[in-house]
Amino acid sequence: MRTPFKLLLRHKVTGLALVSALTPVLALLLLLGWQEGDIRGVVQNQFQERVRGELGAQLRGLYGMLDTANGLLQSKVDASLNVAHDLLGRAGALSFGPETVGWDAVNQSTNTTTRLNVPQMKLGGRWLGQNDDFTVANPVVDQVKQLVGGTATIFQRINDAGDMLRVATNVEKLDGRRAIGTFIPASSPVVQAVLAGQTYRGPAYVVNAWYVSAYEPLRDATGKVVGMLYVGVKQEADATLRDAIAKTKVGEHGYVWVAYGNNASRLPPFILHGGGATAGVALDTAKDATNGKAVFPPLIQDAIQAPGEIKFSTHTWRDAKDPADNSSYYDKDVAAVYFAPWDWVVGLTAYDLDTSNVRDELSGEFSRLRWVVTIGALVILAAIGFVAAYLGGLIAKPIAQATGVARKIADGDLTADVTGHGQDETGQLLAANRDMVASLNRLLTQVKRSSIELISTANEISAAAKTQDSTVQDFGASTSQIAAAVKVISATAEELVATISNVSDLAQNTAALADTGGRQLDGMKGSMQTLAASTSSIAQKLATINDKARAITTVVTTITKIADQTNLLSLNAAIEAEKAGEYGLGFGVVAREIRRLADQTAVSVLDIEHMVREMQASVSAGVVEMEKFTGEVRGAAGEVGTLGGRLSSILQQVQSLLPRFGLVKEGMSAQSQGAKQINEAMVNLTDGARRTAESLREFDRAANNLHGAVEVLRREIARFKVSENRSTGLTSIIFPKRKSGN
Amino acid sequence: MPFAEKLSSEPLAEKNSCWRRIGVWGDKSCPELAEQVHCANCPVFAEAGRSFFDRDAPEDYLREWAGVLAQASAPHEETVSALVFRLGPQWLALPAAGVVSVSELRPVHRLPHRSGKIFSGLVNIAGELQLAFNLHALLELPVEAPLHLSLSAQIYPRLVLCRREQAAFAFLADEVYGAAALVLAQMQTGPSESNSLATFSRGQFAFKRRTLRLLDDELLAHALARNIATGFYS
Amino acid sequence: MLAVLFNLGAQRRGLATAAVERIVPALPLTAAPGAPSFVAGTFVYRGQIVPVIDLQRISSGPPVPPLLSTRIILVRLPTISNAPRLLGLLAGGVNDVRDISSTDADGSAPQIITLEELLPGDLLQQLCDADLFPKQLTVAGVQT
Repeated sequence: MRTPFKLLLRHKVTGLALVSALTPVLALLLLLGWQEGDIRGVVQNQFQERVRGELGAQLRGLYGMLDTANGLLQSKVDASLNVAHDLLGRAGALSFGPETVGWDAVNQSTNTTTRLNVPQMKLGGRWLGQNDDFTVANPVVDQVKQLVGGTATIFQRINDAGDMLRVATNVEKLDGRRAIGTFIPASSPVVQAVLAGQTYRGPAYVVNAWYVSAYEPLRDATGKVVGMLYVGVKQEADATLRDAIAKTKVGEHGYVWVAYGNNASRLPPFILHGGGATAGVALDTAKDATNGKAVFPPLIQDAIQAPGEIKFSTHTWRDAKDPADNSSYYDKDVAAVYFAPWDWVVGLTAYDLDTSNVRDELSGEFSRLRWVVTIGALVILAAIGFVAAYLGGLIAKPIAQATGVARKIADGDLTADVTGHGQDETGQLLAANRDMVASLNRLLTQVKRSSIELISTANEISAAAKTQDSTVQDFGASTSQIAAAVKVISATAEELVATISNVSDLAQNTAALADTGGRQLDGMKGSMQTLAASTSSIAQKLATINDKARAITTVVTTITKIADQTNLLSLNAAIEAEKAGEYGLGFGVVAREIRRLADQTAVSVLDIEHMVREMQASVSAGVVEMEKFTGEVRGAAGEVGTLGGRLSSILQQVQSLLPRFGLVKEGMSAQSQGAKQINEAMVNLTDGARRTAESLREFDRAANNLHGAVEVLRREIARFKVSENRSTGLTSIIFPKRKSGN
Repeated sequence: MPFAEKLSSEPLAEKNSCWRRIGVWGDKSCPELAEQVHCANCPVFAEAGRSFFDRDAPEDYLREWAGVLAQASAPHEETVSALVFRLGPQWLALPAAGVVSVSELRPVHRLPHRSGKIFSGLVNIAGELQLAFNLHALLELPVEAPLHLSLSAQIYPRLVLCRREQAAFAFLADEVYGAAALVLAQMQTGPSESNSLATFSRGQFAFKRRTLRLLDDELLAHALARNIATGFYS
Repeated sequence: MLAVLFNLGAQRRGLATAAVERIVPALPLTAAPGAPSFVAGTFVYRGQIVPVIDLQRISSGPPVPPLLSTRIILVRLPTISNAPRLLGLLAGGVNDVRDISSTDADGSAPQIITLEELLPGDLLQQLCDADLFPKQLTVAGVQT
């Protein structure tokens, strides 16, 4: 143990120093690594923002350019419209027929041909004709072209639905003829607006090019919309606009593109593609390499939702324009804006490639910083290690010396020479050791002397305790016997009390039962009386019914008279009728009817009599029964009364018995209580004796323990080598032998 | 119980009382019912009714009869049997020979452009359509009448149908007393309520402390027929 | 032939209504002293004293029981003068007037009995003798 302890202290000191040096270095490295990620993110965002700002500015410029161009075209359209208006006004009023003209009208959206006959459309009374030849002049439309250079068409409404047929135009078809004979179906938004009396403005696809156009309703004298006037200027009349857009530069690799917006039917979807690939192919099919989603359609939709606002998205994909390495994909920022008047989406695609070198430089700086910090930390660590090892040795040496002295004392060698030097903490430690050895020597000499006296005293106490113990045990046995006898007396007394209690309870129950019976009999007596009262009331009612029945017989007598009179009348009537001969025939019939009536009356009287008889019979029977019943009830009531009297006398006797039972019970209880108290006193006494015996035994054990303790003390002291050399005196002390069985 | 004793001697017919047991007032199991339909048509029932009279007469009953029969019959006088009825406050009589029936009220159906003040319309009596007239209007009598004029306890308005030769006519009477024999010798002349009442009545009688006018049925029928004719052709 | 039905002893008989004036209840009769035993008494009918004979007593049978159905059949007796003489026949079971055709007299139906058959030859004479009929108005035509 001695060598590791020495090394351990020295190592501890060295380790402490090293750890103190290493912690800030590691913290610095961790901080550096953590910050690097953050800083990279910030830099990345800053870059993207810069790129997007740049793209936005460029797009805003392009948007302004388109807006200006559109404004110019729009004013040109307005001028054309005014001119056409003026020309129409001068040519005279619109009218139709009566002559008709046949057309093979082509529906421009479905391309189906319909053969139809419509009235000739006339301007100032002159038919506009069916002219598709440019060598033949057309009124108004040709004049518009001459004066302002735009295209113009006059439409005729060909049905109630509002389908509009081109009847005169200066627009040239691909085959060099005038573009007439096609019609715009009424479902088109253009026609819808015109039929509603509004001027429609917007892009229009005429023959094979897009026009900035305006459609205006034409009305007849009654104000009904009978046709419409179209004027338009080619959207990209100036090719320089397209060039200007195409020349837009986006970083080193980026490009500009233009796509159609809402009208998906317009193909190809990309008008302009600055990416160097064929227009409408590469951009349209581009898919993000990370998630496989289409790149352009969502962005274009997003832009259309908010015309004039610039929308951004970031993707990774391969353009046809991308640098030669076929396997590589490039991160790109795309920005787009929707130009509503032309339904154009103008966009810019920027390559992250163009900005990546700046980011790479930043990353290099971070790596260098990390290396410098690491090497610096290692150098400092080595220096501190050396210094710490030397200082550790200096601190550990005196402590090791003090430890050796303490070890000898622990082993009982108080003779060790403790020589201390120096005024530092280790020197003070050695001096304290020296003082401690001297004190121990003095203490041990004193203890050896006292222990001899202590042992003799313990022996005397032990002997006295033994004597007392046996006396107490005798006393315990006799008290137990007395207690047992008292317990028997007490139990017997309690049994007797319980028996008396039972008897008393029974007597009480009997009294209660008799009481209840008496009360029930009282109730029964009441019911009997009520019953008797109701029976006599019923009897009275029956008598009333009987009276009423008798009254009915008076009525019966009256009816009897009537029946007799009726019968007589019928007989005489029949006789009279017979006398009247033929004239009395009807009378005879009446007479027979009267006789039938008399029969019925008589039978009714019979029935009434029958009923009355039955009623009276039942009433009489009822009266007899009631009287019998009343008699029985009265008899029963009397018996109940007698029974009640007998019961109450029993009740009285039992109740007079009760207090006597109580007295007996109280006496017995008192006796039992006394026996119980004696018993408790005896138990207490026995318990006291037992406790005394126990404490004596306890005392004896304590005396023995004292012996043991002194013995141990003696042995311990014997281990010490005391410098006065009096240890031999201890051997003369003899411990008395302990009695067995304690 | 003297009453019960008195009733104990039941006649034989009553003991049978088949109508109560198996007849229409009983369980209807009597085979005779199939033919007779109702006990009232059955000879057994009739016999029971007749046998009812095989009993003692009620007290005083026969003596009452003696008084009635003893009275000397009135000397033979020329009477006219007539139906006595009331229109408003006036009691009237029509010779019974011309009265066909007295029936309950029935709805009178007005004829457009025909029904007027006197001719009310058509009414269905015993399945035949009859011409209904408003005699109150014809005789210029009000409909309301003081209660004390009434002769019945309960007043029922009735529809009276009369026939004179081939023409029949119905009218509403506010109350019908019944038939009465009016002694022609007692007929008087007297002031009447209205002119037309005087025109259509032959004379007046004292009848149960009320004044009763006997109507001239021939004149009445003639007037009504003329009313119809002018009504139809005007 | 329409007939008034009545009991004669145990038999049911019918009297043709042609001779019947009226049927009246068996009202209390005034005793006729000195009259033959079959005379039940007399009563006043419309101011006229009418003798009543008990049909059962003619053949010395028991008197007709005093019941409601016992009635007096008033018959007209032909007389020499125009004024009819009335005679009351007291009979039991007078409660029906029925048409009895002479052809179906098969025993079950009541048998028709004529006034002549009912009243033996000298019966009317005995009544006259007893001053029950005024003498000057001799009854005629019954003794054929």
